[in-house]
Amino acid sequence: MLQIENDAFHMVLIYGVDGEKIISKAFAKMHSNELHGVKKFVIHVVSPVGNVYYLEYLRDLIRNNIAYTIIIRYHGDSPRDLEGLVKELNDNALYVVSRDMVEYRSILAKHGIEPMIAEG
Amino acid sequence: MKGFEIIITTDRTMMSNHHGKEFLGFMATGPAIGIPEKLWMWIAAPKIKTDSLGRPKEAPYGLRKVEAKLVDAGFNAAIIDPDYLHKHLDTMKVLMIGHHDFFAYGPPSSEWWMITGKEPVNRVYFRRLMESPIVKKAKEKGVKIIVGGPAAWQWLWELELWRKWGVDTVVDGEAEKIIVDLVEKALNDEPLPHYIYVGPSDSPSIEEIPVIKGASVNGLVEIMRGCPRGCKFCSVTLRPLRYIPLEIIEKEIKVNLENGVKAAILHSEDVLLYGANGVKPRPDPLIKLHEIARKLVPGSLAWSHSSLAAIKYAEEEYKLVSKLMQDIIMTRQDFLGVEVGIETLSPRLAKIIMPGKSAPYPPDKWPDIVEDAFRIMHENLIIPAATLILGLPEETASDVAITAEMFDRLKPYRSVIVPMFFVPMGVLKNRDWFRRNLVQPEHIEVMKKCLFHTLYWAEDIMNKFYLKEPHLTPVRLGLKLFMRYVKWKVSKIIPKLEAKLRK
Repeated sequence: MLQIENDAFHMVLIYGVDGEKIISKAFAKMHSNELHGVKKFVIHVVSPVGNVYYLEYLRDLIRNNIAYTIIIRYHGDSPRDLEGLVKELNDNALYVVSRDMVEYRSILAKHGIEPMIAEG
Repeated sequence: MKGFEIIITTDRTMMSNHHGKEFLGFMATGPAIGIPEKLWMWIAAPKIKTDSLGRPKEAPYGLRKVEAKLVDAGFNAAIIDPDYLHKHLDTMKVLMIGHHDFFAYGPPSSEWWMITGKEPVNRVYFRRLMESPIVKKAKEKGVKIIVGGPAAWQWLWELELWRKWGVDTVVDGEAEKIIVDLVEKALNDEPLPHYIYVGPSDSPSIEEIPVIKGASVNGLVEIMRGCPRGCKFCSVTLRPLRYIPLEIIEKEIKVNLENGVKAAILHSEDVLLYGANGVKPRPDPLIKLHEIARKLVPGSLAWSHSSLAAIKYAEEEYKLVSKLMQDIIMTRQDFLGVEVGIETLSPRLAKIIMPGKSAPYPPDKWPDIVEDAFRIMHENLIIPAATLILGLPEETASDVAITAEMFDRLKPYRSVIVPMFFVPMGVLKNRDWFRRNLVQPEHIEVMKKCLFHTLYWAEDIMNKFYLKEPHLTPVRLGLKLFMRYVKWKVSKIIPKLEAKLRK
């Protein structure tokens, strides 16, 4: 992890081809009163869309938030990859997942994590 | 000497001093038109001299800053000309590539591309670099590739190439605070983030910005970062305003001089706002800055950018432009070049898209500000390369008609005026759509006026000021030939285009 990531707010986005609604949830969260004053975000992605192609969904989020530092990390495409990430981050991150990604949600549930759910 | 572990490079269009004439670099943003590509490239971006290891005599300033930061942190890093990467293949562990327009999506590359239908040479040469056997070999042996610079965002639209070329990390924004840490992680083979956008809160302080170690292209030195104008759409204005202290500017000019570059380009978003009171230029810091630069630099001084409002204010309040030019700059040269932005001559549109640009004057006075600044520059032998933006989202036909009408007020003033199209990203991959839907008859009128104005004054500029050095005679002749070709070609194209648009 880079030093600038230490004091950032961490979000884990889990999305497939329906990425837009996850991203818009994340966008709303970044601008919420609750996160007022946060200037730095690390966005961890687990997505079956695949390595670098998942970034297509993040273009607008990056380009429309030039007031923040944003670091994007990709952790893989499978529920197992998510499990590895959860072990690393525990509940020190906000998880956003689509309702229809059942397998991924069950991993989060197994670790006692309550994610933000985007409706399918 | 062994090779370097960290190689910083760019493609041929960027690794050049453009014959010592910054403006010729603009040709590297277009495709070769009317002449063979090799000749085009020789005019626009000739190879730079290097040492035996491939370290260029001059290199882009942004690359120099990255190099300095890494060298100061103790890394074995150097800028290497793209033709010499093979010399470092055995030692290379990280390959860092910078560019101001990787994929030709920025202005004016995208506009050239749209109009001619041909890929600009900067895109062509960048692709050739990435697909060269040496970069492929480097990737195969596990070299980490980190790319960055003002065009970093373009990678988000080229995911296929990102994956194909195996780019590890894209860095967007001021890199000083993260680059050492990132390279360390790359050397330790730790997982790297795919994308880093460095926001204003992570902008480096003056103390964190290193002094360059080798010469920058044409002696460019930064005098400030940030901009106080506060335009809503601009990331520069969000960043803290930092004036580089005179002693640091002096040090960097000396680095350039020691490395054989006898000129200096003072770089800022708005040179006349160095040490300003908000958007109001102040004489004292500007006079001191120019006195130091003039004392040190035997060749020509240039300004990278200036706002037209600052030129008008500085002259009308303090006669400052005349003072700087007559008492300081012109003691060793006969003109000064600068890039300025007109963008529109419609006060309505100016109010919408750039309300801060006219400050301290109101945006409805924008056409007068432009004309006054052009007159002041003409009288003081400042030659601006100006931009106009066509096709902005809220532009109406009447805005463009007003721009065309007001344009005539600029006719008497020596300048180059380049129209640029605001091209939405989604449109870039559909050039026919652009030609059919975006270009309107009013745009053709403005483009014609820009072209004839520029051709008229370019002849005058070349005869009296530019490319006068005997060794540049072939370049001057090449350019004159190109201008003749453009005139001929335009006389054929415009009637056809107008007839098409009337249908």
